[in-house]
Parts: sequence; C-alpha cells; structure tokens
Amino acid sequence: MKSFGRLLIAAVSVAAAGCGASRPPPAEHLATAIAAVHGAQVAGAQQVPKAALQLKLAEEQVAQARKMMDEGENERADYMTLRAFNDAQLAVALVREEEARARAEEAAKQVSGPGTEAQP
Amino acid sequence: MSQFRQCAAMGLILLAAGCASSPPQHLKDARSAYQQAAEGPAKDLAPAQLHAAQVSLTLAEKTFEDEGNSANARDRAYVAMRKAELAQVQANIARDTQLVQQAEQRNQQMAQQQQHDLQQQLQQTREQLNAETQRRQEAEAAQQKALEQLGNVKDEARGTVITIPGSVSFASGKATLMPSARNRIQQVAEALKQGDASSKIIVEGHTDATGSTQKNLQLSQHRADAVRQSLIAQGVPADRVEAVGFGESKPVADNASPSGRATNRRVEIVVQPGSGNQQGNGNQQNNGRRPGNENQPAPGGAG
Repeated sequence: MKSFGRLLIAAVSVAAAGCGASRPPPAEHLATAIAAVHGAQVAGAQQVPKAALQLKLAEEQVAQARKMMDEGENERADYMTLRAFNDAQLAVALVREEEARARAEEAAKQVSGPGTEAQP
Repeated sequence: MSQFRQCAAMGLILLAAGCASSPPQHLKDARSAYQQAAEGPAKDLAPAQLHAAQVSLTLAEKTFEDEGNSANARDRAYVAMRKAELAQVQANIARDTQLVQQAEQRNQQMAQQQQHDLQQQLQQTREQLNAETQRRQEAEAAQQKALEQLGNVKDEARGTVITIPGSVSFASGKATLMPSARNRIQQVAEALKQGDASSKIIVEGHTDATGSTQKNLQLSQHRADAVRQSLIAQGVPADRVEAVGFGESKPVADNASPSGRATNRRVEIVVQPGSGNQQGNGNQQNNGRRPGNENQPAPGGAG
C-alpha cells in the first residue's frame, strides 16, 4: 500500500513536470527585470539613442512577460523576463559608454589644449 | 581506413546539418556578436563579461540542438547576443576610462613638472637673494667696522666729518700725537687715499674753554698740524690737506661739565667733495695751513 502510494506520487510528479503546467509564475524574475528597466530609466537611457532603443525593447518585453503570465505561459514568461533584463542591462552600459566616451574626448582636448589654444 | 572514417564523419555531419532546422537569425546574430566581442578588446578589458557571453552562447547552441528552432532557443540566442554586445560595450567603457586616467596622469605629471620647475626657480632666486643680502650685509658690516675704528663719522653740509676725540689723541696740553692715535690716523689715511682723489681734506683742531683763548687757539692749530703731518706721512697728498686751529670758538658741548669739555677737545677731519680741478698738481708745495694762502711760500712742515 505504501509503495503504491509512492509510485503514484512519483507518476504524478513526472506527469506534472512533463506538461509544464505546474511551473510557478516567474514573479521574482519579473521583479528583477522591472528593477533593471527602472535602473536604465534612472541612468538616462532615454537621452542616449542606442540606449533608448534597448530600453524600449526591455519595456516591451516586460509587458509581454506580464501578458504571458496572465495567460499561464509561465515558462515563456520567464524567458521573456530574461530578455528584458539583458536589454535593460545593455541600456545602462550604453549610457555609461557614452559618458566614458565624452570624458575621454574632454581629456584628450585638455591634454592637447595648450597647443591648439595658440592657434586662432 | 582512416580515409573511410573521415568520409563517414563528414557524411554524418552533413546528415545532421541537413536534418536540423537551420539556425534562427537570433542564434546567427549571437554567434557573430560573440565573435566580434571576442576578437575585440573585451578579451583584455572585460574578460568576465565575455565569459558570461560565451556561457550564454553555449547554452543557446545546446537549446537549439535539443529543441530546434523553438521559442526558448530563440530567447536564449537573443540573450546570448545581448551579453556579447554588453561585453563589447563594457570593454569600450574600460578603454575610455583608461584613456581618461592616462590623460589625468599626464596632466598631473605636467603639473608636477611645472611646479618642480617653479620651485627650482624660486629656490634659485632665493639663493641669489640670500647671497646678495649676505654680500650687502658683509659690506655694510665691514664699512661699519671701519667707521667704528675711525671714530665718529658724520655726513654734514660741509662734508664728511671724522671726529677724533682729544682724549685718545693728545696728552693734556700737548700737541704730540699719542701712539694709540696713530693707528686711527692711519686708518683715516687709508680711507682718504681710497676715496675721491679730488676731495679736499681740512683738519680742524678744537679745544675746550679751559685756559686762555690765545693759548687754546695755538694748541688747536698745533694739534691740527700734527694730524695733518701724520696723514701726509701715511701717504695722503700734502696739497689735499689743510690744517686749521679753531681753539675754543666752536664748542659742540657745554664747557661747564667735564664730559662736555672732553667732547669739545677734539680733532675733526672734514672731507669736502672734490671739485675735480685739484688733481694732478702734486708738485705744488703747499702746506695748506689756511684756505687762500696757497700763494705764500710754504715754510716746509708745520710746527
């Protein structure tokens, strides 16, 4: 009797894993993605064209992930949060890249400054 | 045999490739993005992120192998592509940050060099100033010392006046220079010889009011003469020096007190700025007893 019960539980578990319906909604991953999107917005991704594109993609994917979760497609939703997170992360990096590039240009100008200043 | 194996392997690969669905665009993009990042500066400047991109790409490839062109495989490929892009962007950030740091370092070095140069200049100027100050102080000290040895020296309207107190020059009532006075006279003579050669030197004898006016006048004249002779003996041209006795007529202190009388007993050597026309007539024998008696025959030495 006991062994039969175990067998039943195992069978049910395998079945559940197979169909994927029992996968819980990726609430934590969604929250992480939303936080990353927020971080990109705060970093000023809207003001840097390349970053603004990544931010837009991330926002769209967050919305899509939400829709998938509503529809019970939790696995797909999880992948979508992963995409959103990586786009948001790239958006922040693109902002930083732009800032670093501007600083490097400014520094190059300062170093060559005395020479170029003398010219009219 | 080995040729057959190679052939078989090739065949299997072709078969596998043919069987599998062609890789999704995302996977192709991910591969090329990773390749681009791996060939760029990310290897050195963003190695951790490049590794993460590699792991992500491997996962995407495996998912594609396992599931074919599934939605999950496409998502994994998409993520791998973004991670490769991120590696490249982070490498760019690292490179630009390095450039800024190098520029800052150069600026700092330049500023340090400038400051070093400036400090060196400052130090040099300071040393020059110190040397100059020391030279001046030494010259002033030497002059001061020489003046102190000469006795009292004053610049007055009639010229530079060197006062030799009577107490150190002559015994009471005598017109003979004491040995101690000879040193002073010698120093004065040296100073006069070094000074303006055209300057006129007047030796003035003064006494206090003790005793008869006539006697004092004579004594003062004799003392002035003695100093004049001494100066001439030390090499001062005779025609530059006159000797005048004023007796008690020009006191500089109150004759009522002993200290005042001591102050009044004195010989003053007045150096008048030269007019320049008295130079070069050293042949003229002139004892110069009084101004204006150059035409009188000189008796040849004072009494």
